[in-house]
Amino acid sequence: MGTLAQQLVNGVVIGAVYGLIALGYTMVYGIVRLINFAQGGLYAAGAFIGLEVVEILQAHRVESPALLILAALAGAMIATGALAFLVERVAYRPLRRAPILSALVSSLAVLFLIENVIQLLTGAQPQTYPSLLGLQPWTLGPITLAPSGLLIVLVALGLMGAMQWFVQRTRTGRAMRAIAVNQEVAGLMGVDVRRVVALTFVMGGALGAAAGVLVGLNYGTITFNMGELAGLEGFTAAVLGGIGNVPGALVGGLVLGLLQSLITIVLPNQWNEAVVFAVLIAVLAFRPRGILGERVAERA
Amino acid sequence: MQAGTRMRRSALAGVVGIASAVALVGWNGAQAHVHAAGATPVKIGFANPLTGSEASYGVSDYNAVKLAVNSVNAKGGVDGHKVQIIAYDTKADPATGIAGAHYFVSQGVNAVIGFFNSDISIPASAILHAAGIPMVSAASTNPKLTEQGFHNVFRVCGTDNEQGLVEAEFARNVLHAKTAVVLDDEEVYGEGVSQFFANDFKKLGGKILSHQGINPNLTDYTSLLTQVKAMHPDILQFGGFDPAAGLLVKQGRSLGLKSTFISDDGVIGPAFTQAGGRSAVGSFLSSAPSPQDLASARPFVAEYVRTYHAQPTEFAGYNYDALNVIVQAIRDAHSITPAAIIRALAGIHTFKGVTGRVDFNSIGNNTTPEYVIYRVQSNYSNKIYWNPNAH
Repeated sequence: MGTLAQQLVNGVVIGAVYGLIALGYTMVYGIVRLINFAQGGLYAAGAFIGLEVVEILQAHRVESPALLILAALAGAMIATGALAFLVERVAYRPLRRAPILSALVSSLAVLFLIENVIQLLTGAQPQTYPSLLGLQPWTLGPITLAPSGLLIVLVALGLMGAMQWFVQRTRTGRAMRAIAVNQEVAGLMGVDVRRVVALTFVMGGALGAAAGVLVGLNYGTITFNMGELAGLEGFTAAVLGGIGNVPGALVGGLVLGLLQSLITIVLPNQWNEAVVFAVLIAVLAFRPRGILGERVAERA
Repeated sequence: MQAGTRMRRSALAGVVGIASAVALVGWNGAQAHVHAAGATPVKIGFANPLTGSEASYGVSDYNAVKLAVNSVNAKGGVDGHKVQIIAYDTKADPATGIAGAHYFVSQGVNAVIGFFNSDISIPASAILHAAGIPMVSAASTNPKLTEQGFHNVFRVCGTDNEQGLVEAEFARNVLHAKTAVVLDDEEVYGEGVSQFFANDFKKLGGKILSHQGINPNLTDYTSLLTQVKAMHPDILQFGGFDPAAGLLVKQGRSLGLKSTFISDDGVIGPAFTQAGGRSAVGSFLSSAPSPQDLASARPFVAEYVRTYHAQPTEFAGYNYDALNVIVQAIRDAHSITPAAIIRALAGIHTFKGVTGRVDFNSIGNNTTPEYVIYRVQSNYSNKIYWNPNAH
């Protein structure tokens, strides 16, 4: 029973990471209907920028872990948001009237571009995050949980709540939902489509960066190509939960994470990914629009 | 010019062209082309991961080969022929790496040292075999490489079955471990070492509780390790490379896993302790003695440090020896034709290299390399803990 409880904890932590990455996909897809594969690259960029912030501050004798973590998160989210803004201007805006496939390929190109730039700047060797939350995990009976694991879950829940509130309750959020329904009409009604779409990309980038920093803090090792596999898992989580649906991203992430954890109890690890993706196919066969279904706009 | 004509003639050159052009920029470009007056140079192809995640090994290997070449050329070359290195970057990627074998054929090399990764060396050896070019491997330890019946393939380093056996003997006879869980990264090298460890551990009376594969590109192994912990094995053996090994010990220890961690020479680099931190301390790693720990390699290490201001990595000594073995074969053969070099290599016996003796057996394996067990010390250095050959 101890093992089962521990697996549930493991599944929730890894699921929260997937959920955070999935949120970025879902925001962009929900508004502009583009699967932004650059999301994995933005996630990796965020992890490396966060590490840079921590190293610069530590060089200036900032030692408070809370301050370092906050600064890493804030710095990475702002800088990666800016990077996402740039990406939108260079790689998507010129393709706004082109077939959606062009933008899709463009987003893949951006993923590899970001990866290679990181590799050129930092080398191919894995980089190490300092353990800011202490090495000692908490233990409760048979269950252990790293403080950074709890932080991931809390931040994922918090950001999901914030996104949901923003999209549903603010003026800009309403503009986003309007664009999701019909860009042309939203523009005619006075919505500044370019500005709102750019903001959507910035938010997606910032969400990816938050996930990157938290993964660095929790697992300690980051690599220039970390965004490829994580991006794919995050994308899967988004589709599983219902892409374009904000709470769906977290639900999809948690389902995927728990599924991966629980499968290891009954099957050798090498079967893990095969079974997970078989389940994904099964879910989509019965619920093509994901577990929670609808897109951002349809909730209004 | 001559190389250019050959490139055009070869049907494969077009396919290889882009990869090799990219791979060679900066590497071959920096290489001074040594031409002795009169005698044609001996062209030695050298293929290793010079960029990418395993570049730290490849660059060190390349440095070692360059040292050996410089010392041969300083003495007037071999039988009057200067030695010229043609370097190729495999990026540790099978597709890119195998293209390197075609590139070497198109360049008309006399012999090849490479290709570091077993999953590249094995297919590449078939291409070189068809072209009749000798190949000396200095780092690929998968047994299959020399078991294909190719007369042109030789190996100065040891093999995974020897390495797996040393780990199993250590676990059973020194640690008196009864049970083990085995994980491997599902690559030719890691899976090989783990499979041999598992077989020998069972033969020596131990029990394998589970043998599973992992994806080395993941960051979260907590679910798998939770299952491992529930089995309470004495030993957790891992076959693979260092970043994944570091994550495994770190996450395992934080879950309360107490098993002794045993791994291989793919883990002996600094990335293991960087990723694993304190959790890596006390791990046991099987490896051939590193050059720094070999009396015979002292002059080599000193020269390497003087030249490059860095320590040579695990396979650098073998690469140094690989070049010198080829040079010896050319001397024995009084010829630089690939066929003559192959015949002479097969006769190499009691050759004194920096890593020890080289004696090729009938399939081209070196019969003398020895494996030892290193322990990761609390200052993150590796220290020889057990030497099965020292009696």
